[in-house]
Amino acid sequence: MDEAQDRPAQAGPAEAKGSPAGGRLFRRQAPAWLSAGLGVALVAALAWGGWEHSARLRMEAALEARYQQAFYDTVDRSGQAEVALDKALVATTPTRRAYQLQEVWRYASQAQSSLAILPLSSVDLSPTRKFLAQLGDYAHTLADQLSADPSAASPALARVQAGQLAALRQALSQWNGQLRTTAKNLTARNYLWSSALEPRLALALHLPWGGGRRAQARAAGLQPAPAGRGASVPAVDPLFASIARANRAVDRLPALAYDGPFSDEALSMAPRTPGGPTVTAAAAQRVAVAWAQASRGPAGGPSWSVAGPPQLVHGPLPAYRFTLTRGGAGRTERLTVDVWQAGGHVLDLLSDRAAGRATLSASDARRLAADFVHRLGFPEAVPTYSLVTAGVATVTLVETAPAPGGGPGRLLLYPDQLKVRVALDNGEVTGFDGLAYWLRHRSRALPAPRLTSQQAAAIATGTAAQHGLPPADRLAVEGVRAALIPLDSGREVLAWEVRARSANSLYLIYVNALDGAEEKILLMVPTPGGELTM
Amino acid sequence: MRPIPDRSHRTWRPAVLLAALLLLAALLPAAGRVAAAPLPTLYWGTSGDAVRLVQQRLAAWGYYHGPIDGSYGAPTWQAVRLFQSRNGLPVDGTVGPRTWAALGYSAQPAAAAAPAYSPAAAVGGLRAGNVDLLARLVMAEAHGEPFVGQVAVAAVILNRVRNPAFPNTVAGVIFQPDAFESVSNGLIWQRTPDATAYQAAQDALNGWDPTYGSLYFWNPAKAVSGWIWSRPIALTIGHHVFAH
Repeated sequence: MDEAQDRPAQAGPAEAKGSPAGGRLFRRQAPAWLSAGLGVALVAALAWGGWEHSARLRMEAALEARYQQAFYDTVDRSGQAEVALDKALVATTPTRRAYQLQEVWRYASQAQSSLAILPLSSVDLSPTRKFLAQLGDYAHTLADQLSADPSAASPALARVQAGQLAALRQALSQWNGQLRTTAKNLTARNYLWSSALEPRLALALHLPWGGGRRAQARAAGLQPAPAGRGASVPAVDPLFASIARANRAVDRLPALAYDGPFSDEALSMAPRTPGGPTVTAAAAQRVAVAWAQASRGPAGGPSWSVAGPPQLVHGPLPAYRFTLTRGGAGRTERLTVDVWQAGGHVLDLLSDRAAGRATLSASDARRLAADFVHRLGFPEAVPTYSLVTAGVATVTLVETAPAPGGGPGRLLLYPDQLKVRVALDNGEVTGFDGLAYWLRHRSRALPAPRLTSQQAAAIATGTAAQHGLPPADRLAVEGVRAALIPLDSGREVLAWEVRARSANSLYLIYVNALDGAEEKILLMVPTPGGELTM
Repeated sequence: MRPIPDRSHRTWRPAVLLAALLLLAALLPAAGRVAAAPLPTLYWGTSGDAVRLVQQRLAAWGYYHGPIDGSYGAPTWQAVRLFQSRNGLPVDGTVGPRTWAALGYSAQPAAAAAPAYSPAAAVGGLRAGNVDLLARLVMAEAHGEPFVGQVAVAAVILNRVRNPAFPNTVAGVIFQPDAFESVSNGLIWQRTPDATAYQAAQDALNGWDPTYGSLYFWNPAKAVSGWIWSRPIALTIGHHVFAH
């Protein structure tokens, strides 16, 4: 190779000087094998390029097909949702209306999923996705109410619902109109969604006109900026102007007030209890240190020391975040403890120590977790589930209260839930999650149950209704206890928790203690690490 | 309507048919499960689902051209005899254990039937799939960050799943176009999640949220978008800013 490179290099200057000898030398030395080799290399490069090109075209086509499907599915499902909503308004019987509302739910959810697949970077469609999700959620909640209690379709209530549904139909119809216009424009222009992903030279070279800011914002896991909110926002492609218009209109709709998991109320992180008087950073640090030392377990490992001033956590639960460390150079362990400024309650504790070989069992972990919370202000909490993964047990504990109506046993308060992570190598507490507890905890005045536990068990196992079931699926009751449970919407319900077993599975069936409704069914699945609930 | 045996290929056809039948029987494991209950002996005059099963099979294989009515009459009897004669079985017009077996149904004891249903596998799979995806994203987006920061990234994904403005599955959120650079550039498939990333994913699924409901995170050393700084910021962990 060296020879081949050297010779032309020598020949070049010789030729430039016009030396006839040099020129002859070059011509003589540009041998046939070199030209042949270059020719072969050229052909090979062309073949390779052709192969790569055709492979790329196939990939692009496959990707484009996926995007086109998502777009046309969005148009179709969104239109179907409007039709179903229209029929729901026309339906006069509760059954028919409930059915049509379930259809709205189904189509709106599908439209929302499809919409999220589209690579549309110039319009932030979050408002539309939220609208579709809440529309479906609202329809589903209404349908549920109608099925549970057909009398809910009283003329007065029906009029309120009809008003809200008509407003939603109007908004959905406007969105669909703009979506159809967009579909027409895209088809006319033969728009390819995958073209949005074309690499651009300016972008690759980080030139100022290459959309570098957008790329950087993208790099950080962001949604692209919505139109009109910042200097770095890319201009809306005229092709999508009508979608952007509909999106803005949806954004201006008033909030939907209803009782479902996607409602604004269920999403809000506002605590239900004031927590307590504001604590100073010094007082909060004392709490953090006390919890850190208590987490060391029965063996009492090396103690923790505070590393610097706390960081402030902003938001609905303003807190101080303390970082504590222990250990020497090379193997420093870190523990973070978040103390709520209102009342100095610990919201979160997390250690970065990886657990070693497990020497303790899940039941040891439950005992240690219960000890830990009993010492730190939750004397009535009891462990419910535990899950072991990679040498760590996560134990769920719930607060209890005297049984309502003065009955025996205690009432489980599932909304007031704590989680404790126990390392199974030495029994240290390596995590505590009190956020759910402090978001939901409050003093409650609970009614006395109207159903007895036996009545609830009979409803849960439905002896008469089970005749058609294969023997393996018939339920046998193992126990019943009183519980306050949170529904998906956040509403709390006093219920009887019926523990029932079939041949292969264990279920917790929650029967409303006031009206006997079957509120919730949890499936408890035994896994090597403990019971998973679904 | 009854089939007239074609005698021209008598010498080799039974062997080919038998081979085809055996092959079919082997390829149809479901057939064995259908008839897991003890198989009754059928003869002229019997009726019911078992007869229907025989009629279906004989019709599918071209021996029977009558109605699938579950009633064992003359057409069924003739079809069974034809089937038996072609397959080296005693030609008695009665469907006993050997004829049942030749039809592809074996009389297994009920205990060896399909295993009883258990939801454990489905539930375990649901959780495992989400843990794997979350751990991959944590590894790609937050490798080298403090442990709390890794839990925080996984928690942001789960906060988005619960939010109506985002897709409502873990996969939907992670693969939303342009949402995460490591998905756009394929890094998510190049790194194998380590034990820390898995632990972070598990903790987030178990409920830990060190970001208090944040929906966004970014690295201020890279991002300069004015818009993103307008989101209400919760806190900074390691190199990432988290915001609502």
